Amino acid sequence: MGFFDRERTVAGPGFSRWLVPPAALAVHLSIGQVYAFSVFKLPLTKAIGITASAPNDWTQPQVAWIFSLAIFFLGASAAVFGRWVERVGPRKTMAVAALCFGGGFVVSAFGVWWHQLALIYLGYGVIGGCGLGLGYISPVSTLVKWFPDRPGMATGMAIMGFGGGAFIGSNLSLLLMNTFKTATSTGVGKSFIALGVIYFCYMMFGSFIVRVPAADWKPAGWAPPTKSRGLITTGNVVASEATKTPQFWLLWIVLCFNVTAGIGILEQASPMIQEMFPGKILAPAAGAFVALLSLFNMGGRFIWSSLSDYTGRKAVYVIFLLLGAILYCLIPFSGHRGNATIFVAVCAIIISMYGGGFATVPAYLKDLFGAMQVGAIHGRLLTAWSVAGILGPVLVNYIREYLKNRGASGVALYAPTMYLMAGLLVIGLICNLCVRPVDESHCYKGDAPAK
Amino acid sequence: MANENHASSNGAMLFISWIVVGVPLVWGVYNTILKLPALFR
Repeated sequence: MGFFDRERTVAGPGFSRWLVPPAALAVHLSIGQVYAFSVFKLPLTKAIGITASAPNDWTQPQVAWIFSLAIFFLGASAAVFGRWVERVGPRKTMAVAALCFGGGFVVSAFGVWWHQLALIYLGYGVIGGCGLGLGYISPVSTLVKWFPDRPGMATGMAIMGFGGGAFIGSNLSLLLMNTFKTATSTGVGKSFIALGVIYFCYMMFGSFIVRVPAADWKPAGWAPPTKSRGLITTGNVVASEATKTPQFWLLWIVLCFNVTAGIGILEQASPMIQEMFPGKILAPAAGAFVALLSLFNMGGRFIWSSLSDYTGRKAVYVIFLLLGAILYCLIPFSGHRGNATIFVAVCAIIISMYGGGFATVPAYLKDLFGAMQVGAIHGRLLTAWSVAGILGPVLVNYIREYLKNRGASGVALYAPTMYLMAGLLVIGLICNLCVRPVDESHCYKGDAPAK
Repeated sequence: MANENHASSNGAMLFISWIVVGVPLVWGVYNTILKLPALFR
């Protein structure tokens, strides 16, 4: 039996379950770096020219594909390898995720030095993207099993790390680039190597300390429910069966539209606030606005998902979608009034609910389908993120371009998109209200839980 | 005695693990908060 085998990770008596969230956080704080990849965008477009882009340098749209590929492969690998993750357990998955994510940086470093963009696409986009997907789902089912009494708080803590990873990633990347920068180099290549090594070690720390609970373990003083209550099932549904239920696809739409709306604002936050409040908000303030949104994105993940342990998941999503729709309609209003304070407050709440949507969904899935294969089901649901990652920015950017070409400016550039986002959230709200308990005929009937 | 040793090593591991993840997170958040005053000027 090898060190990375699932059987070796079964916790003995007396093991504190509070050791598992740091293991999950070590992985999520690392892979959250993807949100900070934009700090490399400009330096990568000056890889040859150093101080300014040379004719042979890569363009911004070419470089932007690195992030898009990484997000696509995050969703794809989470969906494809979800069952494998459940079978081999969190330690091996986290180790493979560390190899992929760290290795992706190393491959990309060679892409920078040899000026081969395809190598960076392969390294950070494909290999690193698979590391993102495996790392993202690896601790989820483990945490749900350790915290059956508070699954929302537990998964929220880990997924909060994904938001927090952006803070570490951006500051660390800038620090490294400044350290390695010379008159003949932007320092990106060496920074990639350093980041690869640092994140590999950090994720392996999580892999070493993670444990799964024994089959008969339960928290002291907690009794598992003996019969289904509301949306919470006492049975277990396997991943392949879960995707045949309407509940899975209703949640897919809910997640997709909630993320589409949020990511549209996140991606365009800096130019949006400057264009809606011309003269009032300049570039440094816009940068601070983006930083504020990141803080709410991270905080919302923990606060909303913890709240869902008390209110129920469906109720929390009603808040996200209903309040979200109202707040999106308030954005043009704040612009017309010239009130940047209302705009900032509204966007901050929206982004907190965007993060909350990500963090609450594993617990929602656990309620509906049981804990047995929640990691694999979560992996398949994350394809909604891949779709939303394209849909949100495309809607905001293309509608803005269309309106700009027709002579619109300021608030008018964004108002129709905000109403459209509100409409998407209303559709999501209807889907969420349609979620009913999963029919028992879908539940796993075998004697032993499938891994 | 064995249980006491186990409990203390468990506690130490718990402390170290939370420090390992907590310090970088606080460092990142702190550096981000430093950027916020520009929004309120």
